[in-house]
Amino acid sequence: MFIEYWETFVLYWHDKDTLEIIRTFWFFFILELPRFLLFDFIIVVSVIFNRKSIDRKRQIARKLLWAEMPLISIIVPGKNEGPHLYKLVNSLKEQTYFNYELIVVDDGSDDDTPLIGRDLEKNGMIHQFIRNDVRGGKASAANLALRYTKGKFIVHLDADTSFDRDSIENILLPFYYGENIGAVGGNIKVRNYEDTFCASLQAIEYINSISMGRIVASELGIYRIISGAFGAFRTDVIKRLGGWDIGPGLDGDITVKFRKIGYKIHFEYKAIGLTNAPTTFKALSKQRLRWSKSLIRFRLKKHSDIYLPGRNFSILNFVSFLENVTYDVILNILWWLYIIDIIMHNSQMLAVVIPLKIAMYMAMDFIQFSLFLALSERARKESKLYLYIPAMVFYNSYYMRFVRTLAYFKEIFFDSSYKDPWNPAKTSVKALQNKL
Amino acid sequence: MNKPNEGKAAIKHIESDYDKEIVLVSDFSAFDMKKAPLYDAVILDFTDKKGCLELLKTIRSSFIESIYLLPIFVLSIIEIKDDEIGQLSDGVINNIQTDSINSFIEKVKVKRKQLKPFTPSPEIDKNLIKLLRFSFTREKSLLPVKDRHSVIGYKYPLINLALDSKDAGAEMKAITKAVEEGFFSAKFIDRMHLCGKCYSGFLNYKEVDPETGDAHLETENIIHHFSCAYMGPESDFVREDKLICPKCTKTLRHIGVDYDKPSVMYHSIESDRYFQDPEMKVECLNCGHINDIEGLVQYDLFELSLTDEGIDEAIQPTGSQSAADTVYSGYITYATFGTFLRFEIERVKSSQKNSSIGLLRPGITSEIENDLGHQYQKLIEEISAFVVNNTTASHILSRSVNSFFILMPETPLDKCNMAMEKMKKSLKTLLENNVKDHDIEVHASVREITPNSEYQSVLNDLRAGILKD
Ligand SMILES: [Zn+2]
Ligand SMILES: [Zn+2]
Repeated sequence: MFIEYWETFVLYWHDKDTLEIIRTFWFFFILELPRFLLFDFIIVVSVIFNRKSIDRKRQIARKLLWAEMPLISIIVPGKNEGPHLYKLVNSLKEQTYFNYELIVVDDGSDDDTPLIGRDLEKNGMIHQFIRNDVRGGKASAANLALRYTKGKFIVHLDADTSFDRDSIENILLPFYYGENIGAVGGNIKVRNYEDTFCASLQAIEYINSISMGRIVASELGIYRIISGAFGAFRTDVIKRLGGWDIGPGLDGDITVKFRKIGYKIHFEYKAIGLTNAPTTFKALSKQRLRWSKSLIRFRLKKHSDIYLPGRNFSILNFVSFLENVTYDVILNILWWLYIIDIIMHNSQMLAVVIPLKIAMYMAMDFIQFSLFLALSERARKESKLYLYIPAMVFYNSYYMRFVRTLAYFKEIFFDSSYKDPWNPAKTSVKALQNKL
Repeated sequence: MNKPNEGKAAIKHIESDYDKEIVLVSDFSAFDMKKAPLYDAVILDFTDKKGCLELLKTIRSSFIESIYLLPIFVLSIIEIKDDEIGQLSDGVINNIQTDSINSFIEKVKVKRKQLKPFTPSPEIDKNLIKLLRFSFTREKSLLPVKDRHSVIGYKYPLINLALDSKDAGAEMKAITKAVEEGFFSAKFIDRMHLCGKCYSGFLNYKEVDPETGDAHLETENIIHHFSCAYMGPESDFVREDKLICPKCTKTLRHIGVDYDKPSVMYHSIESDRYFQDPEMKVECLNCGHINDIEGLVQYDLFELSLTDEGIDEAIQPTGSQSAADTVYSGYITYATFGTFLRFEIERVKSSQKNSSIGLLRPGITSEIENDLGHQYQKLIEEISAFVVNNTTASHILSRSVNSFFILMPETPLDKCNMAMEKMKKSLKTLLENNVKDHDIEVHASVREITPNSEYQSVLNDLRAGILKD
């Protein structure tokens, strides 16, 4: 039985020439391989080769930073984050960069957060604890913190993020070596990757797709998402922009506003923040539905002017958006056609074609992950994740695609993100009225 | 008699049907303190308010019994709102009725006759004895009155006379001591919060910047504009008489619909600091000390009423004579009894043999006492003798007016209870035979003395037990 199957498998390869193979797996070879592997390879190799000059630039930037040693404002908006605050405060105390003020905004918590926050404030561990009795949503909470900041840079954190000792210092460096940089995204990794299978897969995803994708995007100048869990902003610019707007997530919107007025966004992969990923597929699906909806809302609706030639037109912004929309939205839809195409044209050979397809993705995931480990500061620890790589193809190709498709459908046709309880209803109503 | 002035005498003798020297004083400078003991009662004319109060205070601040216990009335046709006058005098009258004045004089006289003379000694707090005797002769409780010249803001007029009015602590200590010793029962009137350093009640409560202690603060509402997510202090929005969002320039129209006010922010003007949780500080206007709320001293004001022990002490101050234990034959004074009880508790601790204590009290009300007249003293002597005869030499006895305390060393509670019940029955029969017109109840209660007993609470329990009996 197995031998029989192996024979058909070998025969299949023999019969087809390269073009035919590419024809069958066109989606993989034409669209995904170049974008996800080729670019990665080039960028990683260039980063490795340029390490010396990059390090030198960083050295100079570090000197400039310490010579100036500006006050920075760390802001932490959130609801019911009290239990994380003590750990956060201690994680920040360990930072090499110490000239910061810490402002925590309690966005209408209904647990012990006000007590914990006040206590930490009294003991001087939080410089300003602002409590709102009514929830206003994360954007407004961040804006309130922003209103009272005095620092030169804003570092925006989630309360449950923890940091390597040099993370804050590292996230500030790009402001001193890059030109015209308005905001810097930190590199978020999964802290609880050993908790569940689901969390382990996300740990690989963060490394392979998210971090890697951002390094590449940043190098190409089309980086556009700063994680809400860890990002740094120039205070003068973000205040000029009026801070954050309402939305299904803060991450993808503020950066577009920076880009629109001509500032660069940089991804700093050496500024590491660890966060807890959802441990169940149910929670993960909920989170990703929200993220994907925000993509539609920000890329196709709110900031649609990016695609139009006009006063603020920028080729990089256009490319950035186009790339984002192409790879995340259009290809997602195209993929279903691809599957239909494979089934239609290879109906007899499915038993061979499908495993082959899966094997190709596995190989790609494997190479991508290895490339990343070459850059990672905790490669030894992360190498444990190799075990889970075979599962990634199912996670990425089937589970994530399904979630995304559902989200796009809901958002495009039903404006579903405006009903998300992530924002209080009073603000969502206004956001929908004003098409924000 | 002083020289009569031309129309109105400075000190005028009031004619009455009784053989009493009652005088009306109109010119307070003419009053000679040395002659005060010669009067039976003095009426002060309130026309000169200040002089009236001054003289009243001078008389009451004397330590000579025949002066400070002198019945004094204040004559005024208008109502007097001054509580201090009410406390120090024996009443405000709007016309002179010698009948009621006379009966008051008689009442005080009867009470004064009971008071035993004593020679001053360092152990005797003469101010305390004065309070007790004043309260006893008037059957009057001591009340605090509001006084802005007093550091606390309140004072007990009679107690205050002998103390330095600037030292609030002295008055507080005197009262606490008198209540702790059981001479006065205390009924709650009001609770004061005083400076932790000088006990002053003149305090300024203020919210301050927790960092700098600065009191120059302003508060502002935080406004959240829903449609653009801007959130900041109200002043960011105020443009003339409108609220305009600084981020999106829209006009805010309707609270709850397009904006709300989720919190309040404090702004410290001097240091330009923003915070939400100001600290409450209390500055003392007397000594300048800045108190925390927790650092304030809580001080309760009480109405002080004499207890039986207080009456005892008023009549015969503890330590006023060498043979203290012979006040009533076979009895020791209440204070000595207390000492014995404390020794007994210590002894029980080491011997592990419990003792008991009993209290016997015939219910002789002041009404019955009045009816009995001079017979009352005889009756009490008889009861005293009865108790002595019905107890053994090992029992320790003490008497406070109508209360008979019996300490029974190494006696189990049930045995003590039996003895007390027996005495109660016999005493009831004795009273029935002696007092025909009244039905006098007899109450008793008992308590065990264990190694864990605390002497004050044993006595309090005992008294409480009597009320339930
Ligand atoms: Zn606005
Ligand atoms: Zn003081």
